[in-house]
Amino acid sequence: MSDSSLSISISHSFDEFDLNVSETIPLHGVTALFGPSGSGKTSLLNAIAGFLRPASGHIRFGSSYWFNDTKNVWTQPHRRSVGTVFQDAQLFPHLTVRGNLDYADRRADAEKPGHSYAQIVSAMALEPLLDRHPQTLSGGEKQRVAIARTLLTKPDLLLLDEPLSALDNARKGELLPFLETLKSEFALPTLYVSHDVDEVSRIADRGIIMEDGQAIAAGQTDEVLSRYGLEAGRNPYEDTCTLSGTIDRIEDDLLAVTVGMATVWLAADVSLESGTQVRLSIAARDVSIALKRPKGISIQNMIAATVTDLNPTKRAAFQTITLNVDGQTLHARVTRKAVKDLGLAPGRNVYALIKSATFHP
Amino acid sequence: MPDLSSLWLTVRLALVTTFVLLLIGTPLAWWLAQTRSRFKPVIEALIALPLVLPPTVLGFYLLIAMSPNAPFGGFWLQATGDTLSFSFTGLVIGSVVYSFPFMIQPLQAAFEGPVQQAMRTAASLRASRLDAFFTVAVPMSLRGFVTAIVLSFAHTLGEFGVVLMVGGNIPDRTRVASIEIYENVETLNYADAHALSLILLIISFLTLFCVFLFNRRFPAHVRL
Repeated sequence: MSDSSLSISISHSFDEFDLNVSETIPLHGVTALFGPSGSGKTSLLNAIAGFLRPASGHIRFGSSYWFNDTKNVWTQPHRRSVGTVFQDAQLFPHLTVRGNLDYADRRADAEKPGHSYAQIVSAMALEPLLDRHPQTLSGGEKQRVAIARTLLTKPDLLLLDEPLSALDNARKGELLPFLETLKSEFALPTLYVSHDVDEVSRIADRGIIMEDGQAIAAGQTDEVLSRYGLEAGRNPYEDTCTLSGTIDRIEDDLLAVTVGMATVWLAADVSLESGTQVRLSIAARDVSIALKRPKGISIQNMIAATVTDLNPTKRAAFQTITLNVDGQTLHARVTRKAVKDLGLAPGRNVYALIKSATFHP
Repeated sequence: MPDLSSLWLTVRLALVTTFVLLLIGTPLAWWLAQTRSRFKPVIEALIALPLVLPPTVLGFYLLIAMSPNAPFGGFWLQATGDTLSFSFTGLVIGSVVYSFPFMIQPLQAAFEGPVQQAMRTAASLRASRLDAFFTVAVPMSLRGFVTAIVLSFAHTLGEFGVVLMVGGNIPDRTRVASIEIYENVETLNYADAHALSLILLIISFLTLFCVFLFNRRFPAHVRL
């Protein structure tokens, strides 16, 4: 059914990566665009919204082409019936909440059927905020205004660009129900960009996984996520290692965990017996490296380790150092310059400084 | 009592110059704020030149360009029947060039970053580019406009070198206040020089005072 789908086949070169996407997205329900930062999710959204003109290919919405390079077709962004909600809400600072909503309402097609102004304001619970200025709103309130403002344009397709990413966890919790209202009450075809597995599995019907500018998988959310080993509660794009240890004792609300020859101290408000086996999750970015055991430093956790491997990361400035800690593996993310200055190479004996760790009993 | 006609001429020159600068400067500053052209640095350097160049150098080149023998000056003479050099129009052209950076730079700074993102947002809300420019970019850049207008106006008020080179010293035609002050001093008429200088000082101070007052009351992105 070509009439009810968004057909995308585009390629475009950026400085850092090439965008090459060929996907047909059904125009109903919520489709998540999922992947790490820099994988091309936002660029793809920009191409659909008309903020990026790809070097070649086509974008067809239903039966009409928004972009077709062979026929030199290009629809201006304001003529596409797409509504974009940006990461940071992007409310107009010179207008009140009501002014922001009116801005969209005045420019919408009055003939087109859709929800009324009052319905939209009430769905996003904006009545008490109407006369406020954007500067005085919380992050979650701003996003609700931005969503309502976009709904007022009566879009045929909704693009949500990580609407929760600028919010802390408590605010995320407040906004999520509104996103679910959006889905159930307005039932607009939606593309939802996110790098959070929890969000995606809660909101999306379908998922497209992006990596290095390409869509590497598409399908039902749960099926796609599990195929790539992405489970809720984990951030797959964080390089994290797990060390096993044994609880030695508890002192001043600090937990002493023995890992091999070393002791790691953790703040913990749990009561666990000495001798309990625990696993520590340690993100690579929380591990620094020293050649000698440093003194006069606030980091308390230092473990003797041996460098076993050096690997490039996605960001050119950093390298991942693989360390051997008494037979267990730990990753450290350090700059290339540090690797050079410290002369890090396989076989070198170093100290791993651990800034923080979370533990799982 | 000093001759106030020179003062009136100065204010008229500053007003016309600022208006012309606003018309030319707004689109140019807009282009500079969003272009990725490799010519951008060249154009920015050219615009900033009057900040460092001695006004006499600028005036000298302008005088040559405006001469009836030069292509531009000759064309003007044919088209209007009047010479550009030593005329009010010539003064306006000289002042526009001289005050160019004072209009462009505050506007360009105001148009960059958040305003460009807001233009996309406006497009996503069905506003055409022209619509969005007047309903989003201009109100968001109000502070930049006030700064640019006032600085261009004040800078033109105090102009001396370019005017002297291009316009000379013709009463009611090209004799602006700064030149009249100079002439009063030359002829040892210190009383009139004092009076005119003080008036110019007060006008300039009040003008700048207004900008700072405005900037204090309306931080960065103003509310209307």
